[in-house]
Amino acid sequence: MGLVDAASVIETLEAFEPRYLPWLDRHDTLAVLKDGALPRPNSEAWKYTDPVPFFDPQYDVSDRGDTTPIPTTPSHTVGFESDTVRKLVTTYINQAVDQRRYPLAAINYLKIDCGVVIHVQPGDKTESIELGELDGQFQRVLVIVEAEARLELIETTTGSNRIVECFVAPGAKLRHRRLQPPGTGVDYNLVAINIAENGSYSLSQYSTGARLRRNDISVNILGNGAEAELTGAWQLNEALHLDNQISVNHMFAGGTSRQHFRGNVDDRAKSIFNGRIYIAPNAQQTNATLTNRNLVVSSEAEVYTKPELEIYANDVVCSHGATVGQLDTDALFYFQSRGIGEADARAILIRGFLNEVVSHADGRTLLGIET
Amino acid sequence: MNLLEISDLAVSVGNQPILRGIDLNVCAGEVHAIMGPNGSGKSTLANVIAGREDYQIDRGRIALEGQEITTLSPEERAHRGLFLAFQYPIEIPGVSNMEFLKAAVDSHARAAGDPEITAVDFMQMARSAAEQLGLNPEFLKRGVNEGFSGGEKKRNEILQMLILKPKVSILDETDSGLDIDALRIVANGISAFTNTINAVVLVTHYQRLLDHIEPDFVHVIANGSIVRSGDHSLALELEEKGYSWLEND
Repeated sequence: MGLVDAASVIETLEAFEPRYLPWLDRHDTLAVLKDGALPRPNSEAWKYTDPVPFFDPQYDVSDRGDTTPIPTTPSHTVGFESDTVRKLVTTYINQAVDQRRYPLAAINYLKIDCGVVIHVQPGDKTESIELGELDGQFQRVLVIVEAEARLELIETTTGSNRIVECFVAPGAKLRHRRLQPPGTGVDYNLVAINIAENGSYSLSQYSTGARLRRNDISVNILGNGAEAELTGAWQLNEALHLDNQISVNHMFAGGTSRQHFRGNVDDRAKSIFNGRIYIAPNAQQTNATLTNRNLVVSSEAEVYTKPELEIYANDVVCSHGATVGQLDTDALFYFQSRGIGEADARAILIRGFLNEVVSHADGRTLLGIET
Repeated sequence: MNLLEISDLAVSVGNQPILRGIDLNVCAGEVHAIMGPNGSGKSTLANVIAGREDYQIDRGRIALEGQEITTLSPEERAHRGLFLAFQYPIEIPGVSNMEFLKAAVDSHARAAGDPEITAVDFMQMARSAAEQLGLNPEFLKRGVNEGFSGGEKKRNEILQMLILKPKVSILDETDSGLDIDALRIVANGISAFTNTINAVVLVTHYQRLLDHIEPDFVHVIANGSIVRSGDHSLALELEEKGYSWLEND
């Protein structure tokens, strides 16, 4: 893996003069990066994905050229530049993001060039919003779901550098569907979520890859009865690359998290999955599970998967598992003996494998597993 | 006419011979039973006929309606009218029984150059077959064999046979795992399916299935060869005496 030239990255960032939201206080963020947050050689977080294309300033105007049309973002989101949301922006931005752990989010904050706020008022249960591509390279989305409110957010993105911060207030529910069509560039995404007492967040993420695509997900469980359910499926072929790094942080007692991710990897594609469950000393009565299952259907495909548990409380239920396997030859023969040709049998078996975590028609379409 | 004709079939796995020259002729309208002790080669014979790849055919031929099939893929054999009911049906979570059956039926239609059956007609056919076997039609929506009891899995195999209407059905230990009531239902399903233009080969360890479906011929395999053939009375004799007297022949 290449080495990130930290001095040069910082020098460029120091020289950068923000034109968008010049009133944001960027001082602390620069200090975090100077203090060693940039990837070092042999960084575990960048073990299988070369960090240089993500950090090197020359990639700022990267070769995006994505061919998949992305829906445009509707008018009922409000741009950060509007005075009406300045207070929300200054109150919430970076509250769910650990900039030390996610240096690309820090760079996003320094160089932000577009952002929108989605704000659902207390008790409002009617909202469903489709969020498409935004007109900028360093995109920021703030999603605030107030107490007892409900939001269905359907997001389509190919990345660039996009940070989505979600705040789920007490008793609120956020259903977040993310569709990631194939890209040709270097894509970075972070979804960072804070969930308050009895709040509920669910993610259904359907992904293909890009030349390089990194999905960071960070969930903070911050109250009793808070729950997070993360599911995801990916289908990679050709030389596509997808790196999912997930961290669910139980910071408070009585929270629940479930993670179930599945991927199918073909051709020369590369899939990386790292799922971490962190349980703080005071987060007793936590219930956390994590499963990642992978199918590898080509001898040249690469899959790396690693569950990680860091548990500092003693009264918790926690389980994890990861598998990498090939299509079952007994199942293939079963299909063939019924007249179903090998190619069709493989397609049906792959579809069945992914379908266990796919519950939306648009997800099936994106993954190419419609019946 | 011979539907299935096996001559001098010798099969090995690795360098281990399993079948040592099997001869078997099955004509339309006939029910054959193949019996034998554990490890005698019964299941190997069933799987080799269906085209499973794990076996090496050392010599001999298998013909379906006079056409050699040993070089054909399992799906091509199925399209020509061969069916194997599995001893251990495979569980496939995420793929519904319905989807699996429809894909099978469609593949047969395509191979025959026929139009695909409509979803409505297919549903009707699948439901009526399920009812015939005492299965709740709801089970068609479940994953293939997923969480099925042993008896449900075996009934599901017979359901597939009823729908695909093969010319030659090889039922590998379909009676194992069935209680008395399920055995009767399955046997009735098989009996109702047999006619003058198809044939059924029952591979079984015990004679109890044969109380319900009277075979025209009974063959005993021991150590990879057919050591005796006869009528139903042979099965009754085996029930009484066991297999050892034949193995020692």
